[in-house]
Amino acid sequence: MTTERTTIDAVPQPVQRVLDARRLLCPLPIVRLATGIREIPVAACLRLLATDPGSDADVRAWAKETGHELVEASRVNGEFHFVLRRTH
Amino acid sequence: MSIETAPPSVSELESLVRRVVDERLAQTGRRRSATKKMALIATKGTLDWAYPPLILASTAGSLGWETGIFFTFYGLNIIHKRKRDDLAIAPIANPAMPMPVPVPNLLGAIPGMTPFASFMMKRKFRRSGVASIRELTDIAVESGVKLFPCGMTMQVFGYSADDFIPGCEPVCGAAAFLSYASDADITLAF
Repeated sequence: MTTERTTIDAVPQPVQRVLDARRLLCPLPIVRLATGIREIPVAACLRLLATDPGSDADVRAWAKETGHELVEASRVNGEFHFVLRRTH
Repeated sequence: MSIETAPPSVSELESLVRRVVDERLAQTGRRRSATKKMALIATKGTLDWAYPPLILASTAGSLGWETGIFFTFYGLNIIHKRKRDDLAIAPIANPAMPMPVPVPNLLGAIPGMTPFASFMMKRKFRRSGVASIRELTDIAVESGVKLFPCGMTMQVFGYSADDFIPGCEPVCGAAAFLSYASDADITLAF
């Protein structure tokens, strides 16, 4: 198993929800993420799993544009795993 | 004798530009909005041309941007209740279309080739995890994207407002769309 991990925030976050967007292509992972973040309380985190090759750049851009926080981004066995915190 | 001064830094220039722009905007009575805005035009009604405006608009909606698409000419088919499920793609005169085996392009002229190619393409999209046009138009409506049907082409093609999917904006013309797009950050035409 290869794991490259970029931890942005060292404090471990409890993940309230896992959103599986694997095997979905653009724009569905981002659309699901935008819907999913509204379904968890503010300050809570969700984990997003994706396989779309553009996911890494897209999730970072989504966080930048919406102001929600990308807590963790990692690649696990070719899949993208993200932890995002709802900030507002 | 010359006095040498250090060139201004990028951040100094940025803040200067921002101040000048804000002053000018204040003079014209308009303000920079915190929310970004995108205005698109969709003029084509084939399967491949329907995707880019819908993908960009539904993504912009997910980013929290204000977004609108003006559907004109064949683009109206994308929001047509019945036709949006039957958008097609023609293999003839499209040398970029991927084929399982190399075939002369002229074979695309054989009756039935366009429905067949459209069926194959839709199946390939579905199996790859790409949303259908129906899904994307529904997502656009749900995420607050404004869908403007062009009144002029509706009249020419004989469409009525009832022919379009629920959630479309009222029928409008070029002036209304230009007014909507006039303060957009991004404008693109397809």
